[in-house]
Amino acid sequence: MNDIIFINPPYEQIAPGNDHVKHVINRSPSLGLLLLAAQARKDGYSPKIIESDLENLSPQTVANMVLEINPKFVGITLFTVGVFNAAIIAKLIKEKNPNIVIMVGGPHISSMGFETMQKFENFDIAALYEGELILNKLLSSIENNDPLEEVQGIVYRDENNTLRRTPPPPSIKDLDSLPIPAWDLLPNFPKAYLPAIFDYPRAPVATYSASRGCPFKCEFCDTSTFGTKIRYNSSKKVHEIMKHLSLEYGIKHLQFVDDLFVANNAKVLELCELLITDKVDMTWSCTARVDTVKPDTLKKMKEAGCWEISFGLESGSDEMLKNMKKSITAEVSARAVNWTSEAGIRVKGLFMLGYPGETKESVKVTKEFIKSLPLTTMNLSKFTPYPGSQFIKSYTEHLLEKKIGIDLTV
Amino acid sequence: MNFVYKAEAFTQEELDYEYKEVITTFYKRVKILLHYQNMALSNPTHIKRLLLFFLGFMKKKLRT
Ligand code: B12
Repeated sequence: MNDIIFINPPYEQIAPGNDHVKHVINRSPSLGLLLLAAQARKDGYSPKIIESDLENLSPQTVANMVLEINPKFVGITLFTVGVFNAAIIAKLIKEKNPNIVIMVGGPHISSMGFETMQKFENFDIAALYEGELILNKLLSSIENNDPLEEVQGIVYRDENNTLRRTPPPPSIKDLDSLPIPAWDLLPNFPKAYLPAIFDYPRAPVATYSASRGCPFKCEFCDTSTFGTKIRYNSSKKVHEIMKHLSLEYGIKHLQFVDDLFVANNAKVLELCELLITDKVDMTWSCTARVDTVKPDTLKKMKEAGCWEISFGLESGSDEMLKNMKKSITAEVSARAVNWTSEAGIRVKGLFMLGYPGETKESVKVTKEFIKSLPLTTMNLSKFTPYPGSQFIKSYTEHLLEKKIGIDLTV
Repeated sequence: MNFVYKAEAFTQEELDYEYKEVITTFYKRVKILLHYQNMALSNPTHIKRLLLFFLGFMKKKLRT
């Protein structure tokens, strides 16, 4: 019987009648929950993972599943876009069984944990920042009736129902010490978990993060979970994980979802050397900044199986890049995109539209820029301010004052 | 769509329009369309997903 259930709540709000879109969008599972489930299992629990969108489950169905299993603990992961559905699930569970302890964590909680707990009384405990060690300590404290104030990195309700916040824990230095994500807990893995169409050359596909943190200060980005100091898995460990995925699950393509995979060229080269000398039948894609890639590294990456690199290019206008505090120029972007393409690696350019200061002229410049580059994929988002970003910290009042944004703070 | 911020120089409709324009600027080019056609043909999961998508789309069209 499962004593802890991890939930990725429903996020996708596909407009009614457009269900066919589900066939082409991203269907990869939450890596955070896979790691937390592995940690819980290591600590002696019997976890289950519910991927609501991927299994087509409504909040009501998820709550019913939980109530039927009747676990001691529920752990919900939260992007900002999932908060309201998570709150509905928690309410439905608590109405029928108030004894189940409901914990929340994830990027929204790392930045807005306290406010979220204030707003949603059915969440019992919020775990801020990276969760593996917090979960380990939290579960043992609850089981042993130890005071929760000794668990770092949480927000909880004390006996008077007053919210208490504990100091942040030190970040996890040795990423190699973390358990291997519990892919075996996912029903029908890897077949049922493809990324968006055209985002992979071969299937099946898995995701992994070989580092945590990013030192850059792009104004729109939320780095509250993993912070600004980068920590890495050893190349040996990454190579081992790739072998494991290949042998156990037949994975043919791996997506690295690090904040910044190419942060340190020496690290990347070390992994490439391992993948060249001890081959794994796997292609891979990753993230980089245009000012962190070098031609020689790119050639080695290609040799080691790199299929695609995603660059946050954002805009073709230097003025806009400056507004975003991207600390790059369009010229540097073009150079990196050309180097990557010349190395034989596909380039995905991520762009943003409508950042403060955007004008019709800057959009025109971006369009021309996009056409001039050897990109294979282009993703465009309308700018959305997220909690945890420097933008929100600087501009929330301004946004609400001018009524040009909705309140994303809960 | 996550529409929660509007740049001052645009109405919401103008920004929606520019969004579509930027997308089509990139994707409605022969070399990109050919590239994706080749990709679709070279991978069975892409073909299957595209077919399911179009089937769903046609069903929707027939309903409305
Ligand atoms: C891969 C990814 C995606 C994938 C998601 C795949 C998936 N199923 O998870 C895709 C491409 C679909 C995606 C989409 C979006 N994403 Co995204 N994504 C990422 C990315 C790059 C990696 C996520 C990851 O796997 N991290 C590694 C794992 C280990 O970390 P984790 O999930 O955060 O979990 C750890 C902790 O948070 C904590 N934790 C998490 N849950 C819980 C629960 C409990 C109980 C506990 C105790 C702890 C805990 O412990 C975990 C282990 O340490 C992150 C950036 C990043 N580096 O995290 C952005 C990020 C999460 N995405 C972000 C955003 C904004 C989005 C979009 C809204 C973008 C958009 N405009 O559409 C969409 C929304 C998604 C949706 N479903 O609608 C933001 C979130 C900001 C926010 N406040 O919500 C991030 C942080 C990027 C950023 N820096 O700004 N994304």
